[in-house]
Amino acid sequence: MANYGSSDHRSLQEKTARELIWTSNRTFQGWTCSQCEWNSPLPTLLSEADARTAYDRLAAAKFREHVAKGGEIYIRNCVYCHGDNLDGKGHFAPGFNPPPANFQDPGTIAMLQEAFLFWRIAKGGPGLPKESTPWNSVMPPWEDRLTEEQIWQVIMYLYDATGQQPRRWEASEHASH
Amino acid sequence: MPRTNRSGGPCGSPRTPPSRVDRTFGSIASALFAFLVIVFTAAPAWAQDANAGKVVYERKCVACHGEKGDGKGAAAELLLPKPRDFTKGLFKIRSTANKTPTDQDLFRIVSDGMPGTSMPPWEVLPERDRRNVVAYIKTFAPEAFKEPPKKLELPKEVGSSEASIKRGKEMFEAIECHKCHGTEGRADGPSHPELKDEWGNPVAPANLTKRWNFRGGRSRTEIATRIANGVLGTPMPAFLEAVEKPEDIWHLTNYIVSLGPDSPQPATLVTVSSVKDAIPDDPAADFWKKITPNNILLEGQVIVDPRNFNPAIDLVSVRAVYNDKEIAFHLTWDDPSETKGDGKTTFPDAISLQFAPQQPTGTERPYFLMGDATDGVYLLRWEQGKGVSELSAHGPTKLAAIPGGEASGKAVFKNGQYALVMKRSLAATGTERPSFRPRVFTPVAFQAWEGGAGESGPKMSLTSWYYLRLEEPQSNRRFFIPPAVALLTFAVLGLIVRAARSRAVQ
Repeated sequence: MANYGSSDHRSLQEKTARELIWTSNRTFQGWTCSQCEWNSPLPTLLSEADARTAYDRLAAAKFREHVAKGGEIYIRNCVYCHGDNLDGKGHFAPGFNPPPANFQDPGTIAMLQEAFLFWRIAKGGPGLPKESTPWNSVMPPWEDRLTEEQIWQVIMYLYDATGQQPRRWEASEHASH
Repeated sequence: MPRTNRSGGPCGSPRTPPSRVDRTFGSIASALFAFLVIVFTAAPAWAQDANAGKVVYERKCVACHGEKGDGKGAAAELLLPKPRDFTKGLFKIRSTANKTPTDQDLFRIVSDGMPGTSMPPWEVLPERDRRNVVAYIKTFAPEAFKEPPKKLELPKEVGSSEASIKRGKEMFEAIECHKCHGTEGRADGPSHPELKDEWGNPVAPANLTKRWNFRGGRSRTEIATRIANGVLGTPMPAFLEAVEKPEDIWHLTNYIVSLGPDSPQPATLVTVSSVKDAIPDDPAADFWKKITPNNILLEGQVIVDPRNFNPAIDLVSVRAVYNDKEIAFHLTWDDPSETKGDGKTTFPDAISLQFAPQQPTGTERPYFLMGDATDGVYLLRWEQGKGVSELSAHGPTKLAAIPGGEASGKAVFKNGQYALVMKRSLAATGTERPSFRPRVFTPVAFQAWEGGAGESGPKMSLTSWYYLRLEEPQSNRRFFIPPAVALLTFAVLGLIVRAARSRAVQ
């Protein structure tokens, strides 16, 4: 488990980045709400507009950093099956059935919420529910190898690199009306 | 404060006479404009392409090839062969007679990738991006491109024929291809363990029986070109001058093409043929040549430590038969060396077939990676020096011999290839050993270890679950029933005709 519980040494950038991610994506539900709360960490001498700009810049910088780290984790772990182009055509792909997921396909991560991705990555093939066998997924349970934060970074990378958007509740509600 | 000090631009009041700063700005702007005009019109075309290529490179290539183009990206340490270091300006695949590749050569590798390596085909990128990346790659070693590429003139093509293949085989030995590539081309030549590339990394000779892994492509022209001008940065020399006659390049090509199929033709199901006769133990027996092989692709085990990112064994050919008593598996796979292992850096070569301990009634099967603590698997395993044994496994490190195992088998190693027969009775007793029945889809998986490459325990290549199907035994009924039906039909027709005639007579 990554130590998300301790909040004393969290920097302004981290807080702001998380805030941005939370407000923009809304569905990073794996993060506990204490981290999502706005606890106005900004200096008072700035006007609110200026503060917002400074805050957005910091958050955006931090987001790029997370994506970059996610990319590094991806290339060292996931690329063998899911491929450099995230299209499921990694070097090990020809040997496995079902084939590795193609993240470029709008039918995969774009149809899922980040929380689902988190669960699927953390639990892998062995974590799939028994009700729906025969599962033949060779997806490793990454909770053994990656921290919670690293899994989120990979998820950010997946969406950023493919240009896909996670599925949202509002969108699906809207569609059903 | 004089106003002119802050009116650095055209937005200053129109009534204010142009200040010194304005004039300076004007001259800087015009100089900049002139510079841009020069850059965009007069500079060599690649200069601007390279800048656009840098953006693509940093998005798509940097993880392996590194920011500086030195092949030291984040993924590099896990990969084999290592990502190319562009700063040396040595490029493996060229269509040229000198060291300089053409832009088209580089473009083709970017587009098609390098089979058998971690370099994927980048055809997904727009052509312009790929061309720009080529321009950018060239900037890592500008010296290497000073000498213009010189086109390689291949000798006149000679088509394949028995005579040409024979001549190719003679040349193969004469110019000592077998020293690295092995007598039958399976990358098992005597010098294969010592080969290093220009960077000091170990490099394996090409397995000539697996053409689909040829780095520069599997077409005849590509193969002839590799033989003629070599593979730069590796121990593979250029042979255009070394062969007796220039057309020998084509004889060699024809010989190499004759060594193996064009693609691995992977199987999706393992069919077990039904036979009447006794099944021979000898893997070299003619009996096995008549059985259709099922080619199974194996991949690295990367779930538990130690992970195997670069598995040595990528393909196993499975021939399987059964008679009324026994089931037998004939397996062939390439391995450059027969290894018993020292137990430190090398280990015994091994292979195993994995089954569920009892034929599953539903669709649920044990975990494909040798089962887990609750659901174990049954392994029919051969190990160098130990022979065939029956094991029960509850995970990749929890193996135990099944008491009273009665499997047998024999392995032969020749010219970089193992051939193995493993046999067992069709029916079995106990809860740890499965029985095999015709018409039932039986889950099967495979694991292999190249001990010479340090593979042992979880460090292996493997498959997920496949299905095995025992063909129905062919009965003799097909020789009797159709003629009987025909006879019966004729008899009925005869009766009808007779009845009709007798009525006509009345």
